[in-house]
Amino acid sequence: MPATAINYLDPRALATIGSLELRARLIVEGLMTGMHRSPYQGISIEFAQHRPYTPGDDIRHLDWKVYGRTDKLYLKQYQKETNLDLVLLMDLSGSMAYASEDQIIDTESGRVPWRKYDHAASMAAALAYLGLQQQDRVGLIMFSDRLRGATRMSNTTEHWRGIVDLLTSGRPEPDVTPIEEGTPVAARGSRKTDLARVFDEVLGKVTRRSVLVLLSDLFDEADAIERAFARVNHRRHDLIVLQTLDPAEMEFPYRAASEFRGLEGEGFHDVDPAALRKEYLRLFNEHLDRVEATARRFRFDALRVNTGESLGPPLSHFLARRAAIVNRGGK
Amino acid sequence: MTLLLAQAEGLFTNAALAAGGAAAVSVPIAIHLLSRFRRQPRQWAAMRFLIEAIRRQRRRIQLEQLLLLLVRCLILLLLGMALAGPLLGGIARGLGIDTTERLVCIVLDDGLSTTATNIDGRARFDVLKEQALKFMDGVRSSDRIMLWRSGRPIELMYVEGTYDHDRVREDIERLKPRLGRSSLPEALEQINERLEKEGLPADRVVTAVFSDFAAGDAAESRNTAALATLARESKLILTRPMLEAPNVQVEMIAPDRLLVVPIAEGMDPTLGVEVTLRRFGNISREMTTPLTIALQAEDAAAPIAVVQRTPLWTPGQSDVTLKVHLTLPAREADAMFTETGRMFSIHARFDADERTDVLSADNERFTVVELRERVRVAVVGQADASSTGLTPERWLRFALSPSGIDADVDAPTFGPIEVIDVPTEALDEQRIIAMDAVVVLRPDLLDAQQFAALRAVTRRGGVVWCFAPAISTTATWLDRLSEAFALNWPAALEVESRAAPDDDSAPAPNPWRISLEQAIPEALSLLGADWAALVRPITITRRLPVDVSGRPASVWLAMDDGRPLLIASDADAGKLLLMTAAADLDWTNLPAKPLFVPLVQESLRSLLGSSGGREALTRLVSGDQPTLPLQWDGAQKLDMAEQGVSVTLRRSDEGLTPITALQQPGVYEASPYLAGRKLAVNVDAVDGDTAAMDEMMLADWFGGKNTWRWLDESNPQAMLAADISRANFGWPLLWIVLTLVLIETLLARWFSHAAAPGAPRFSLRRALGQVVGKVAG
Repeated sequence: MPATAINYLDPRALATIGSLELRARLIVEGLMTGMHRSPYQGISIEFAQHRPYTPGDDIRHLDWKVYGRTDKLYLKQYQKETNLDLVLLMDLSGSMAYASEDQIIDTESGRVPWRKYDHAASMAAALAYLGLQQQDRVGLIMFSDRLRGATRMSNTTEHWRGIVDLLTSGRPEPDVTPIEEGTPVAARGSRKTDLARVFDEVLGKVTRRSVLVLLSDLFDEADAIERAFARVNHRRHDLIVLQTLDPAEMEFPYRAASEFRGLEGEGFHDVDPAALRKEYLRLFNEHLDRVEATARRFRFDALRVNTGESLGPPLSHFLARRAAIVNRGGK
Repeated sequence: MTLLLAQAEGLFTNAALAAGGAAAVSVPIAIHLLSRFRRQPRQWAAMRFLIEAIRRQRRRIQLEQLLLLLVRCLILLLLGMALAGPLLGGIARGLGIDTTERLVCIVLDDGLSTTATNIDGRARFDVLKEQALKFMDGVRSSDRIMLWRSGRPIELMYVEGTYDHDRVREDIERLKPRLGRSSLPEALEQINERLEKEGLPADRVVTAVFSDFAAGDAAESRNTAALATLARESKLILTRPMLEAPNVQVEMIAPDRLLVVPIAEGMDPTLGVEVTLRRFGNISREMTTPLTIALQAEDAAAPIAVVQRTPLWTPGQSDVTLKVHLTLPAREADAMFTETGRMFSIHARFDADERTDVLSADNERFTVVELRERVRVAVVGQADASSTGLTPERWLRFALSPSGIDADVDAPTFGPIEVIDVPTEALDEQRIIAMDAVVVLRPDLLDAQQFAALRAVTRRGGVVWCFAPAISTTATWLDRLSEAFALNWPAALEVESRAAPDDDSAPAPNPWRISLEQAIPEALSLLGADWAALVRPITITRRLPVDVSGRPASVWLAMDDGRPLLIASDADAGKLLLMTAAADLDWTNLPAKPLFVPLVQESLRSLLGSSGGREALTRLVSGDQPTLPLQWDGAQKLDMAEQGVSVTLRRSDEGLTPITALQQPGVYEASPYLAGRKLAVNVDAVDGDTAAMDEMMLADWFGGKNTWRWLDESNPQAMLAADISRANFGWPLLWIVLTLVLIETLLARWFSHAAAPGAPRFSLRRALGQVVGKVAG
């Protein structure tokens, strides 16, 4: 069973599971199994004292040993405040609907594309689960060029179901249409990611210092991204960037001349991939490098998430980052 | 389209393959275009980077695609061309980089034989013109054209050549065949000389000969060495000889005498005429040719005398000779034989249909004769007081006027030959200039001035006959004679003798005799039947050992040791005769023998008929531009009233000459009227041989076989288009193709950015292997 659980960090295994809720649970289970330790051990929690139980307190923190000896209810209190506000920012733009041919997986119910959104949503659900397990207040915001949906912030376990429901109901909407002559440039690509605008809106809603987890391919102008990150930094939030990319986007493996159709209303373009590969990869990597450099400049964590690879590394990274944040008492 | 194909044929040995290669060029283009319409759609998220890459690389990609497409098209095109056998010169010209001038020499045969009609009813000349015009379609603007007409007289129409090709076309279309003989060898020699002057390399000169190559054209094949060089100095293109066709012609018409005087008074004059018919082509069939021979005065509507014959051609017979006598009516004869002479023409003609005779221009032949009441002969000798001695003067008088023998020997004779005695000392130009002939018996007494007077006689077409003087032993006068007549004859000679010695001390040596091995001179041909009998009794005991071998003179009578007895030589327009023995019995018994009279009579009558340019004027053929003798002085034109032809005469140092060649056959008359001076022009019978010249004859002309090419009659223009360097550029082109294949492979690998994931890394060895595989495949 542990080996099977680890397999569920693999997108090919996850794709066979229809329920996002189950998928997220399996991810966390697999993650913890793979780490060979309790998820709680991974969280830096230092016991400080007991206090009497008052109604409304989470009964999970009751010290049952003291209750057994004294028949009184005491809660364990820790040395530091350990719960965080975790805001998951989920990209719902058209580009997140992309899945390359290699990411189309044969399942019993047919061929299932493993979209970037699927990968990101699985991560988001898993992260929410992990956060809620640690008493963090977790909230989810869906966006594309603007906010498309959100949940409230809560640390109750029931809240996780609401997050999963929102992730499940959210569908990236690709805009695959040719560009007609005379179409204004501004009107093209209405489903594009607009991080500057999104972060303006998000930061208006998040008043407490929070850890923001951005799950997106970040196919936006580098300047806009930089502006968005600067504002996050200015509001003293912490940001973890999980840049979700399809392996085809990173390798551009095509050779046959094809008609490339943009998912965010960029129109159709005849392309000889072999001839353009070098230049494309140069531009693409340049963009990634700039995103990384920008994040590093604001001391944000940025991680490239390959939809063809296991979810373990990004989630482990998240846990390590969370521990670091908690250890230093917030940001 | 035909022109394009013709030009293409000039570029390649197999133009179809080249066309296939050109067509194959469309394949990569079609694939390129089709690939743009059949691209697989693919959704893509990171479009902003792709669009930016497209924007930045568009020009480079387009350039790469264009370059690849170009190389691929070029490979197919060049492959097709390589297999088609490209001709280096043709390619250069096709590319328009070969602007070097070519000299195109066109020889158009417009001689007599080209007037013949082919089986299809078309005149040969029309066929040749059509081929020449089509051939002209192959010239390019930088070509210089020279056009020769090979019918006599040969005519070069553009002395320096012309670039005005339209003008050449118009001229060719306008040309009509002439009746002169085709002089192809002469025309080609002219071209040869011209090419030597031009000094152009052989591959820059094209000589195209448009001729029916009738056998008659080659009858006088000459100077083959010069023609052989022509084939080396130019590209030689010949039309194929046209098919043999039947032709019947009057080959020859020859009256017995051109100057006719009555034999004796009171006898009805007749005129013997020999006519030869000849047929070419189909000579195996039996046929008849109704022939009419007529003596005619141009100012009379009806002929004076007519004879009709219908010779029968037996199978295999190619010529027929008829001898007819035109009997001149006695009543008219009196008016016809005048003291000053009158010229008449003789016509021989027949009609035939085209099945047996494709050439009508040679069905008629003309000649002219002069009828005169008498001729005047001066006998220059010593006055002889003796009435009984048989002096040379008397022997001559008897020979010239036999009818006067019974009369008073001193009385002048007014028979057909009027004899006028001229004392030697009284000889001067004024006294003898009007004579038809002068017989000199004592040339040893003449001084240089008197010899000059004799020369004046020959200048007017007269005959001078010198006998060795009977009393001289050393002939110093031969120097003066030779000098006066510009002869290169031997100087003074000693008389040789075989006479018996006076003292009978030794036996008499055998006298010389006239050799019977010597052929009868043509002038004496009428004596042929009795020649041996007449000659055999003649002995010569004294002579002047004149040796004219190797000199411009002919020996009419030779002795048994080869020494001449009677020598004839042309002297200006007249004739000079020299008898090396005196008309004396001490020298020879000739005067007393039967030969003497006919010898003197026939010699003078024949020579008088042929001298004065008469004979030469009867041999004129179309295209000649004769020089007329002094008797024609005063004439301004030559007219042929019936045909409406008039040719102006111009004076030159040599005499009167028509300003243009006499093309139209017929009888021309001097204008204004000069004692009825006439001349006859005929078509050249030789050119009526309509049989086809064979390839061996052409090889003989042009220095061997394969030095010329036949004209492609179905596509004449291609000959000139293809008349370029035949160097085949195929193999070099194949190497170029191979190089291009290698380049294409490398470019394709390079442009396809083989480092793409999943693609094998570029390997030169693998690329070369692919190239080899493509070529092998």
